[in-house]
Amino acid sequence: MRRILQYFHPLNKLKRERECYLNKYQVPDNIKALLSSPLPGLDEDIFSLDYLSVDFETSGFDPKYNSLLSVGYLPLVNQQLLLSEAVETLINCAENIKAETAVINHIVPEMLEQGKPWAEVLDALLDELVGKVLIVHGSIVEKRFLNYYIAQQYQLPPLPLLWVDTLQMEKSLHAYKDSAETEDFRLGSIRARHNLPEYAAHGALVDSLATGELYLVLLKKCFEGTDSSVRHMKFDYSRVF
Amino acid sequence: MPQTLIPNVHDFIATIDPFDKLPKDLQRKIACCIKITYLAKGEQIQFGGDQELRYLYVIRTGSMEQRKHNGMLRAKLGPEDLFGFTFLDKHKESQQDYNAIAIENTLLYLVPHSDLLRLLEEYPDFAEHFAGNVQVRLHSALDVVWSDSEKGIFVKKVSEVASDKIVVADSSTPIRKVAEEIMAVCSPTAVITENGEIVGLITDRDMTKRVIVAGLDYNRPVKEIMTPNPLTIGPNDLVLKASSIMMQNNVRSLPVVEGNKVLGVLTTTHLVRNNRIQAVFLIEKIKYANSVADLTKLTPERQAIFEALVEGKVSGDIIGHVMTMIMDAYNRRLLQIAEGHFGKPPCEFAWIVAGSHARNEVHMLSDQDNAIILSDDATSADRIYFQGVAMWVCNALDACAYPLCSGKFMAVNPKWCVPLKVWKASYSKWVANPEYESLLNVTVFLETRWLYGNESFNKELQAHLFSSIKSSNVFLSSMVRDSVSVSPPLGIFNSLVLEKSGENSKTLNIKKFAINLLVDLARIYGLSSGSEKAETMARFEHAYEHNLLSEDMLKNVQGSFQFLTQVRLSHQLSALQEGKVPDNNIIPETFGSFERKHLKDAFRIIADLQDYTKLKFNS
Repeated sequence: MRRILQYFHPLNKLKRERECYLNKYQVPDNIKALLSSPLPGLDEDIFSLDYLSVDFETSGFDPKYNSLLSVGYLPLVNQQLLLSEAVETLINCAENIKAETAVINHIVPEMLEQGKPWAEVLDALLDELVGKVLIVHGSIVEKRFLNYYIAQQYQLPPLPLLWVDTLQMEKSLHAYKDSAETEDFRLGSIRARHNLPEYAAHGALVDSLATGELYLVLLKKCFEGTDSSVRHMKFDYSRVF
Repeated sequence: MPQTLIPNVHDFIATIDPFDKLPKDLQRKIACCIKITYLAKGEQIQFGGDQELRYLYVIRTGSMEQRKHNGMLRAKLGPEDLFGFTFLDKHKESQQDYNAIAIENTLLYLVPHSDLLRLLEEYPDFAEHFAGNVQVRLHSALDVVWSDSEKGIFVKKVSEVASDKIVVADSSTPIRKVAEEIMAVCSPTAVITENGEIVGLITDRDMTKRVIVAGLDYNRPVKEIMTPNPLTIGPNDLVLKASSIMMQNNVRSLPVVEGNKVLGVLTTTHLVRNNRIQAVFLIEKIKYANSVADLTKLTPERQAIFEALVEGKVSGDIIGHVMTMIMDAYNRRLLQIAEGHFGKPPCEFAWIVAGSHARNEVHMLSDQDNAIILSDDATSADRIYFQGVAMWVCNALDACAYPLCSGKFMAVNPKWCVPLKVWKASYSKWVANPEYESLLNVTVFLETRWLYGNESFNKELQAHLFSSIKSSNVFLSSMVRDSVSVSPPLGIFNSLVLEKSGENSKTLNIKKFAINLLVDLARIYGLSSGSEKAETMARFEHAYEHNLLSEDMLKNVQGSFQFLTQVRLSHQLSALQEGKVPDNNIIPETFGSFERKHLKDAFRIIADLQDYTKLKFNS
């Protein structure tokens, strides 16, 4: 019985998906390394996993019409966010930047001229992701842009990666409560509710750090005094199109 | 891996001590190796014994508590507070002194020990700020606050200002030869010795006056024209003291002498080079004031000097000395004026000062502590004369903003205006029955300093006190019991003073709960080692020289006393500048992370010394 349940555990499903993916498609080495690295076991401690907290700054929600402007990430290992391994890279994209997005992320065209090509930036991210779980806040944008890149660059379908989404985690904390005050799920507002410091500046790296800290808080909250093995963790298995 | 700056983290650490003392690029490098972690309420830090796993911890949000292994509270820490310095000590074994537990959900920044050491090797000048050793850390805090370059010349030591060019000649040397040497060395003064002892002084001016104008033979021995028994000054004396001697005696140069060794000369030229001369001018004005009304007019000037000294970041012990010299001048001048009113004293006497005035630790809040030792043959009529003088002088001091002593430790009190034999009997009684006579009432007289009249009375009284203490086996231990009955606080937390009991109070009485505790301990060490000096630091140094304190303890205590004094004086200064009456109660909200951190260190040092003293004196 236990074995059957384990078989249907979404994490094991993801594992089979990865095996299928590698069998079905001809993939380059970097993607092979990424998808063949082992996923966490169901009995592992959720606190002991290696993570990469990631944030993309984009000029909009649709990768077909909008551009990826910058990528920021840093690892979370042993419950510690490592600033020494933090990365933030601007992407040199052809598209003109819209004024309204520049207001939000302070990225202006001149800055992007010094950026790197997106393939270089995203391949570096893929390398960094080997053996790690992705942490994002609201996974739609990151998933869309990453899928789009994989399709454009490698002509491959979306990668079966393991994600956690702090936005979903926060929402699930409030699932049984209906209060108006918890309708604000912006990163900064959630952080404020958890007494995390206000991070004034906006940017891919600062946001990825803010997300990583929030993830630590939520993990502690979700698993306080309970079994913290991976089988009880609600990862983000959603697909975006 | 490219090191990418996270401005929020950098901005945060850049505002807190000691990171705020570092250059931007070092701050940046440190920020770049920070690890961030989060502790839920009740979680404990797992301190790793491994070097690789040691950190300096900075609380970003939340709060933590440190407890010793026996469960005793060591400290409470809030946002911007740091801990983990002791783990940075290279000599520290892996076992830790305390546990750290989150008492709220806490976001922590961790600076890895190994990275910090590597970076500090690149920037050795800043290593002291991160010392695992509390005394080095306190020391670096003092360096930040006191910068030598800003000190006025008069609060420097003579040795820092004097010239080391001076001619030393034997008394039989011909005048002409001494003159030649004076020209060769470019020094205006020659010290004349006989069998290695200093017997006289001759200056180029003296030569002009006493030889050329008088038409004396150049080949006569210099002995015939020298000024005999010259005034001298020690290398460690304050320039202020030297200049005061020069003005009082109308001389233009003072040889700097240690023992019988001539080290150099201090001349008026050295003094005018820098002109923070106010204190000297004030003392001069006091000397020539003719009435209490004249003297009271000088109060604002005294306050201005105090403010300049504190603002000029002069160290606390020197401020104490300068303010004491000024108070001495007032007191002496008033006694002289009183003699004019009341007539010549009918018998021998000594006017002595006690308490902080005797310790040379006067500040803007100091009240008067004084007494009169009468000659043993004083008649009751004589005592009436001195009562009158004392009444007049004490009130005049009060008018000059040296308030009357609330404990009535003043010469105006008939109890403290008695013959030497009565004083001696009192000291014997206090020392023999420390339980009986409430010690607190007389500690003020455990340090006395002669100011006016017959100096030998005070010397005799002091000698009597020391020999009484030596022959008593209960006195010191009951003093220790008395002094350790008050504990210093643990630190400042959430803008409240955290008491040892875990209670909080809203203000820090820095005198009662910190400075006085050290003054009391110093008195115990000073009296038990027979220190003639009464300054708190001098007493500790004397105890160290007599092996009652380790060097480590001495340095710790020096650092914390200086730091506490500085906090107190700055507090007085800001009260004065805001037009308020200064007091010793500090509202912790005014403390930044710098003060909080170093106060915690200082309090801990006091508590340690109290524990050590309890054991040592068996009480």
